[in-house]
Amino acid sequence: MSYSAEAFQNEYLAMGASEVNAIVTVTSSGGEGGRRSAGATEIIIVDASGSMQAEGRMAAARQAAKAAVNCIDDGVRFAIIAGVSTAQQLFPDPGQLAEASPQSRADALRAIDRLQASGGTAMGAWLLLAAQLFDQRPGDIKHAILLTDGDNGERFGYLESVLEQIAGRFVCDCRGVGTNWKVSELRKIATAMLGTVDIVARPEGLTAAFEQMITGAMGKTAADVQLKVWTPVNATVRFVKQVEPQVMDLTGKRVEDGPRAGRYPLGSWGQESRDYHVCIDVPSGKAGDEMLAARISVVEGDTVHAQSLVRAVWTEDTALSTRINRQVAHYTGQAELAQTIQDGIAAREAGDERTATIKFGRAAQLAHESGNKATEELLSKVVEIEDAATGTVRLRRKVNAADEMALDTQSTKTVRVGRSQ
Amino acid sequence: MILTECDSCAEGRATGASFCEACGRRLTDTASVGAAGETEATPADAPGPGRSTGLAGRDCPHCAAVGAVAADGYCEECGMLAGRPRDHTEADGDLMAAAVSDRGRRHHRNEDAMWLAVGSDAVDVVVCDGVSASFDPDVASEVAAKAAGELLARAQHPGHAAAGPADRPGTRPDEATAPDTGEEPTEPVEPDEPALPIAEVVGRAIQGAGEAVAQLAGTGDPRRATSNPACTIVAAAVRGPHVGFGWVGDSRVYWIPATGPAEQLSEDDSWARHVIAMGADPRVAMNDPKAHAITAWLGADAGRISPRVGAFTAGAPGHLVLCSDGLWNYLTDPADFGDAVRSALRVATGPRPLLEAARALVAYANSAGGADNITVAIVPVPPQTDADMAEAEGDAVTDSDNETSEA
Repeated sequence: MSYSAEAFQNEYLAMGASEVNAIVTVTSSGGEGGRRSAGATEIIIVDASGSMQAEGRMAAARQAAKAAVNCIDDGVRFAIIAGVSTAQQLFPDPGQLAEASPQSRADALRAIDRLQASGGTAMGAWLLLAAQLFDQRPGDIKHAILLTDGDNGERFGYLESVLEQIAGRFVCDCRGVGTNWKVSELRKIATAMLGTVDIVARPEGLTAAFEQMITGAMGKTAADVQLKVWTPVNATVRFVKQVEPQVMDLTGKRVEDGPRAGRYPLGSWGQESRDYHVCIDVPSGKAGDEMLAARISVVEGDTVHAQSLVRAVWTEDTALSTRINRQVAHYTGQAELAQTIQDGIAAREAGDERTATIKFGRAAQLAHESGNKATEELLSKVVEIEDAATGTVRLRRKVNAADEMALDTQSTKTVRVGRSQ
Repeated sequence: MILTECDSCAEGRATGASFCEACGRRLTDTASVGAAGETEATPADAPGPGRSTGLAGRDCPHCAAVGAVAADGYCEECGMLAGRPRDHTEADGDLMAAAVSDRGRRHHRNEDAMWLAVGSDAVDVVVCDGVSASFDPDVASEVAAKAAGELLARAQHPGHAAAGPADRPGTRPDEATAPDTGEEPTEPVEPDEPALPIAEVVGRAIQGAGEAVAQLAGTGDPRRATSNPACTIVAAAVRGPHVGFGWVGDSRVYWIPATGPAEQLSEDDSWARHVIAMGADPRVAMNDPKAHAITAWLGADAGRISPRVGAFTAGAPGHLVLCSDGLWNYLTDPADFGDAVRSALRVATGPRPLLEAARALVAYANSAGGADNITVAIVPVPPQTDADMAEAEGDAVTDSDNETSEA
């Protein structure tokens, strides 16, 4: 697989300016396409806690788990974990991984039928068991699906400590069942495990959603790609965020690599392209000074696949320093859009309708300006958009909980800026 | 500085030339400039992966970290750029010509570019200044200088060995004409006859440079499409006592005779020049923020380029000086400019007086503030002799044949 890294920025800074922004587009190509039938492991974690009994959630979870099992290709290793107060392996025998085949899939479906809701919710323990099972297959593409109603019952801080311990060992996509789960809780797991979070609301769309998710996971060829960021002395990395296809803050995942560099995990890669927003604070320079603000490399272990430079040039020419880079402006807007939606939802939950209206109005404006139609549509189910251009909205009195959760989970999805300019 | 010789005819000794002045063959060692031994300038000077600046392992000039400069030219400690090959370049044509280009003190890179080729009794010289507000102006200037220089080198100069009466010191700017675009020059001044065809060649070379720069908008970085690379150009071809010159924009060419008043041969395509022509106070106009806004340039958005050209035959010894506004902005009056050049030439007494004089003029601009990139080229022009005139009579037919076949 070969990679390219390209930085988009306005390198010209006004005198006294010290913040350098760049969008780095990382593109991979040349890997064998399609889904792999070997060298991959899939683990499905199904919440079977007592709370799952309500409102037919267990039936929905069973259906979702079965749909996921049916999407696993022959030859792929897999296992199913039943989540209660402790982690119990539902299929195959404890400590084992099954090789997918028509027979093993049929056995797995029968095991899912036996699943009954009882006991507590202990997501940290479930994820820990998944990590142990994955450890049997070093070098595999490792993917987990967590199906839950998201009401974790472990002591405060335990889940966080587990996530810190297992981060980067596999990718975990989280799917909330019903509408009683907390988006923020599953987002915490998805963010740590470089996965996605979404709602399982419509049973008819389930198979297609899992098909897409597993195709995405099994289409990967590189398991552990990292972004290495070198910065000069006295410079600090303010943030590193994935901004496309969805907003994901990687700043806190930095692992130091020598005195001037740090590595940020990018997860597994197939043939795809992602955008990252890097923001660096540097000491201000004199007119005409040119500084390398960051040297950004796509690395796998000790192999450097691609490199791109982020520069800072101080100029007295305001025609140069006031140029706005379209990529940076676009993704700054997309990140603000995600945050504004989350703030709006939080304000609404807290009963602060005034703040919620302001936030949703701004979100409608941002979504409209950037052409993010999908988010604008989700937003229109939560607020009546009177004029998207000015951000004039009215809160809807009756909002479907699933619609609001869908808006929350999808708020981080971005659209790519046109590269024509 | 490297002098290159054409393997085929051992005739054209050229500095910065890609082609033999005599036979037009490509020279093996091309476009060599630079006192520090840098080789030919490359199409884009932005340091980047896989592109060596030749600075690797040097001590950082900014933070003094020992051996900290990486292959891409940036310090591994403080991140500052240690330098670029184009920060300071020199072209030394010995006693035929010299040119120096410098980044100045306020700009982060040198967006000026130059071309200097010397042959026996012949000099081609081009100075270009990138338009800072455009994208990749440094590439524009480099491409323009190279394209014009190569076209000058390739052209069979009709005036090369021609001669004319020796009593005309030069042409005034108001005699400058639009380039020949197929039509005969209107009422050529008889004494300038041998030089005028050279001006046509220069005009065509500038047209060619304009086309090369215009093409840049569709290549490389997509941002070039919205803010296309652009630059000014001033070029001259000197054949014995005969001089043809032309320009687009506000880079200038001066004639500085050994004695008598210095002349600015070019007329800036600039806002200041425009309002001065309409009656504005020159001092007020030159101090206006818009003074340097140019009204003509090379680039995809320039439309049809109409370089203005001029020609003269030297009747007395003098120096032809081409420069970017990084120098003349500190010497706006031609008399002051002439005094500065004469003073620099007077002081330069070493083995390479022209190069020393060019360096001195660059140093002058830097000491005055160095607010812009500075490029200056100095070409001494010998006066026409009686022998030149006699020779010209005999060669007249051949020269005119060359001109026809070229056109």
